[in-house]
Amino acid sequence: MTQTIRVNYYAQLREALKRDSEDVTVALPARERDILDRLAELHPRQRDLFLASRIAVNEDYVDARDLFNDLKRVDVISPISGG
Amino acid sequence: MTDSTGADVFLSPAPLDRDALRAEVSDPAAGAILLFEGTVRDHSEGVSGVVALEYEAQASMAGKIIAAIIGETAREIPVRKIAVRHRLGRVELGDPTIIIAVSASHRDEAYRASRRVIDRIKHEAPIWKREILKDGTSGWSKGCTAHSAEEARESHNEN
Repeated sequence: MTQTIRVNYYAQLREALKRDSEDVTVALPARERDILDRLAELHPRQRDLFLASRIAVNEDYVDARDLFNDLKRVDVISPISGG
Repeated sequence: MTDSTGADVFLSPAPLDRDALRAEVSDPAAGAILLFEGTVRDHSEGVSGVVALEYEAQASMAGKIIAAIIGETAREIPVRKIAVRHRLGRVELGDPTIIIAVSASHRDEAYRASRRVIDRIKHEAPIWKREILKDGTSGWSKGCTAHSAEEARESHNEN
């Protein structure tokens, strides 16, 4: 099964991709790594950045072991540098 | 302790007011008030000539995470109050980027709580900074991969 999800980008990923969000079709069920791999496949020049990123669902970081059967929106959290 | 949530409580596009944060944690039972202030420095790893930083955040998520960090720290370490403000937008050289105010009965708890809060914010809150250099160029700070709250708790366990 595939589903189209809204993917939100911030900071260096938003700038590199020249967009703050996009709709992406992903195969479900999927784990965090599957989603990041799919995004890296769509944007191979940003592969390293995607693979260093985390996914948040409903504004919570997901666990790498979580398996998602239904997704509407994810936030891609590239390496952070607050403080 | 501060129990408010929301990005507007913890993230500020305006200059930070250290007197206001100190007042927020003032408590007659406190024998120590500690203010930690992170500031813009003129360099980072392999980079010199930094004149300003520009911060952005996934603001609602960062607000929720900072609120959780404050709440969890206050449950784990016996402090009186904790207040946090983090800047957004452009911050000039030498100016504060974050202030953490902690009041506690004794200094040890205040130091431990302050350290816990800054470490967890740096590893969990979705906040990014761009370094602005004096030649006019800029670049995103390398940063670190965000931890989950659980991972951060494990990596910052002081016991």
